[in-house]
Amino acid sequence: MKKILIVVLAVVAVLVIWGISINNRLVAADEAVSSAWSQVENVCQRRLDLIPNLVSTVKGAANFEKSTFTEVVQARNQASALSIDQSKLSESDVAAYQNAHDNVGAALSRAISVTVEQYPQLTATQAFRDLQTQLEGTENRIAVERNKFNEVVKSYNTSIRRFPSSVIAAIGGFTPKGYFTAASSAHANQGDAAAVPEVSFE
Amino acid sequence: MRRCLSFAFFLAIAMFAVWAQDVPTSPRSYVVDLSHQLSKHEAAAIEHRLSAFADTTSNQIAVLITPTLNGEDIMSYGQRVAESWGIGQKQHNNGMLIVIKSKTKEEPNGEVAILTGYGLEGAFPDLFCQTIIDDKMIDELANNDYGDAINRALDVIFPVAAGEYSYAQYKKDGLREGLMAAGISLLVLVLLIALLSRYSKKHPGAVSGKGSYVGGPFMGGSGTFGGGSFGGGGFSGFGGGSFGGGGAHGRF
Repeated sequence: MKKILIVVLAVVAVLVIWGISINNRLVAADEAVSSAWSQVENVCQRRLDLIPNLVSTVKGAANFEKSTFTEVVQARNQASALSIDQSKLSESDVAAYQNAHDNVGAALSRAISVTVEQYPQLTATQAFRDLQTQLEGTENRIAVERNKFNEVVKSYNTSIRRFPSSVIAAIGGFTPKGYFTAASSAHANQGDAAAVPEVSFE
Repeated sequence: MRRCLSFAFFLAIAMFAVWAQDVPTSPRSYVVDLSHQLSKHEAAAIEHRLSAFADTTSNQIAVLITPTLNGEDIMSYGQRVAESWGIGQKQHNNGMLIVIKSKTKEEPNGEVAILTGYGLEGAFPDLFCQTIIDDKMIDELANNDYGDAINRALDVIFPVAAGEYSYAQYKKDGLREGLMAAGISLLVLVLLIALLSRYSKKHPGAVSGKGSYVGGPFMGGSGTFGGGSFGGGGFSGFGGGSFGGGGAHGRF
């Protein structure tokens, strides 16, 4: 009788230790997702921070129409107003975030191409070209950090879905996280944002 | 049926291969010239500079010259190369990659990009990378002088990456040189006018019209730095540094 008790206790102890180690691994994966998310937020914030610069640079140009950037400023305000619970990052959270920031990117790229069309003299200035370089660098960073976030989320999601760690994940309340989707239109817009429209002589 | 299946299988593999679009595997040297644009001597000299620089500062700078980007954007291609090679030290992320897409018959567009690891983004803001490309590389690359383009870029990059020099100083020195050039040209102009007026007094009618001054050597400063030469060992492997999309690119 005593022997059985010892065996049962031993098995329980092993199970508990195993559970703790799995739990710790999941916590580490969860942390990795959080830190990748912070990077995404950093680079998206960087783009938002560039917008006032852009507006003031373009404002310097003659007969500048404010309406050119109304859409950008609106999208920017919406994106900054959006608050995402960093501990959850569910599919809908990430989708909402992506939607808000893709709107900013798309509005920016439209505003830039309108600017290039209407104020060709402006595009020749160093200030505008500098700004384009910065914008483009920001777009690159956003693409990179989104990719990295997706990779980290993939490994996290895999480990909470795979048996037997899925059992611990269910007990510990680990929920799956969302991905950034490579929306083709959004991506194309991102590419446009900084590139000068190509002129073809065909 | 079986044939159909094996065909589908083959198709799947082929599609995967296209989708994967592999980047060149991690090399055993800092310079990878897939386009054979550098002479053996040039490649060896650049390799020597880079490995000596890596040995003294731990900053790793790699150079890739490729004939194709597989239709990919040069920044994202470079990002994948840099990340998969792991240029720079893991704890400092102090890597840098210079990618040059050479002109070929099939793809006649030349492109160049400088990518900075996370740790070098502060010393090399995107604008600085753009300046290096525009001032030091584009003309040389357009002249097919790849070695010169790389060496001139490294002349600027080395002291900045080593922390001896900064972008702010680079801009300031450029300005100072510009001012100096302006001062000198003004002096020359004054002398010239003085000489001319003397000459025309002596020989009235010899100088017709008013002196018109067209242009002048008001060229922006182009700072040149002594490229340090270090003694150094060979390639000791990339350190696993990470990149975050920093840098700039240009066309030639």
